[in-house]
Amino acid sequence: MLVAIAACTAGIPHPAKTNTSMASLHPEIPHDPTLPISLTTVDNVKNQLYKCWAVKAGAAHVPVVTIGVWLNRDGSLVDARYTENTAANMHDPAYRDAAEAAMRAVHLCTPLTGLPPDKYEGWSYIEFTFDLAEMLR
Amino acid sequence: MNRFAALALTLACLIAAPAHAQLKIDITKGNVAPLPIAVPDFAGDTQLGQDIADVVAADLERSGLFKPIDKSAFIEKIDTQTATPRFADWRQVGAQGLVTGVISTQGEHLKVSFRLWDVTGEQQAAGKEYNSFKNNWRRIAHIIADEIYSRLTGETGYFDSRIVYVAESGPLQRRVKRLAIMDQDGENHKFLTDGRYMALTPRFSPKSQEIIYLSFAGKKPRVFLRDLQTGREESLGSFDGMSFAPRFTPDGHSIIMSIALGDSGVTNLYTMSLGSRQLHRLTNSDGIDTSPSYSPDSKRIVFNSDRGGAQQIYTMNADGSNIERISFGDGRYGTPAWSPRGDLIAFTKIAGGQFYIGVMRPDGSGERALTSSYSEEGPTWSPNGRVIMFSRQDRNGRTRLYSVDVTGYNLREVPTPIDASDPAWSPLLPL
Repeated sequence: MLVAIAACTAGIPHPAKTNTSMASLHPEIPHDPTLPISLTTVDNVKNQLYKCWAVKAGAAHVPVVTIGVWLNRDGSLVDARYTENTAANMHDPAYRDAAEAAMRAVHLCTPLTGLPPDKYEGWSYIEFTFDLAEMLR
Repeated sequence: MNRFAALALTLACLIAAPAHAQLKIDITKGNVAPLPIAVPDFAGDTQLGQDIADVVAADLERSGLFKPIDKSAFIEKIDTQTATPRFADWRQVGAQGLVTGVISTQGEHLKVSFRLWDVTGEQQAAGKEYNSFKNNWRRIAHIIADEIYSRLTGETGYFDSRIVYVAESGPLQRRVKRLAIMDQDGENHKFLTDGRYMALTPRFSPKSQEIIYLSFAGKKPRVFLRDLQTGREESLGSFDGMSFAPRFTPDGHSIIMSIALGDSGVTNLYTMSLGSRQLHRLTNSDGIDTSPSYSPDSKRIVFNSDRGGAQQIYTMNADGSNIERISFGDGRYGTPAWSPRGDLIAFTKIAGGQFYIGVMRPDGSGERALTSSYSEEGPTWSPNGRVIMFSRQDRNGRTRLYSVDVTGYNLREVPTPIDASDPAWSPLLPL
């Protein structure tokens, strides 16, 4: 039983380790506000990604891309995968361009720095949504 | 562990551990990476082919959105017989876009055709042909650059335009100020006045090849209208008081300016029809209202006023009604300029001993500083509302023009032969 409890609190298991698709493992669980990840941590991560995400010149319409990212305790990358919504659109070249640029940003930016190690369970998995709509307004 | 136990454990984990909730982060900004583009010399005429390609490449590079590839790296040589480029050669030098062109001349006539290629997709993205005169080659290059810019960014271009500004020389106490005009890339530079009388605040007509400006010939500043093609000038009359900051209305038929009557210094906004020369007062403050600028749809006017105490920015309807203050930050605000896209107002701000060029939405929200320095002012917009030009003075009095993208990136000095201030950007030139 002790082993089982330890497994429960180790964060969201990576699909390759449990052989389960992302959708079935956590269908639409909203962000838990009791999760102790401070706003400053979130801002810190955002600022790192802002620098890594190369947006193509004069992008007038950039599709929204969502990527699920698994991290080690030191902030380095375990794996990054497109969510099902994003993966479904990859046949569209413009969409694929945008998706690949977002994926490159994730790879360029990891290891992420400044993440609180004592709150690892809260950030071992992050879902990033790349959405330029605000900047292009 | 048997499968039933494993399943029970998995279910127990899902139910018992809200700590499995996802951390979701929105990334809403990126940094714009310039698009690598190759612009080989246009085929058909060695000198013109190089000149036109160089101007196109320089325009694209200056926008900050494109990165022309060094010509010496090119593998394929484009000539007049090239139908389709060898895309692999261009991918190899890192190009994502490729511009090819062909020139033919007959006497003074010039025909230029260009094609824009999507190297990754291996297909033509745009193509056009132009017929003109040889001495018009620069304009053709700018028009081609605008086509390329527009096709790849989805916005209208701004390269086929001009800048009029105040060229300054001499010691600070006896400054000579003359009007000058140049293409937006600094070429074709010409002085418009000879410096005998101080000339200030030149502004382009939105519809015709004319400018208005203030001249200090005589004691009072007078507003002059000048035809840029013929050089003919006329005074728009002397007003009972000092007039400042004249600008055209968006239809080009009237001007708007501020006039100070009497000795009190009270300054209000007036419009004047260029046809009838009738003056019409718009504001009625007992302070100083100045620096008016119209929204591109002609419905609203933004201006600078100290009616609330310190210099702030206000908007009002074109008939003078519904005056609203829109600047609320610390410091003083001035020289507002409404973007040709209508979506932003640029301004100068002075706060904490520092000068800023900033933008805000017409309702005053979203205020952002684009640049700051010891002394800078007087923003003017590119025709597509994406670039702002302004002047900056350093502690030694050296004054130059700078441009910056509306996102705050790509700050550059604009080349001028001598010191420069108070720039005004023309609309796109008529074809």
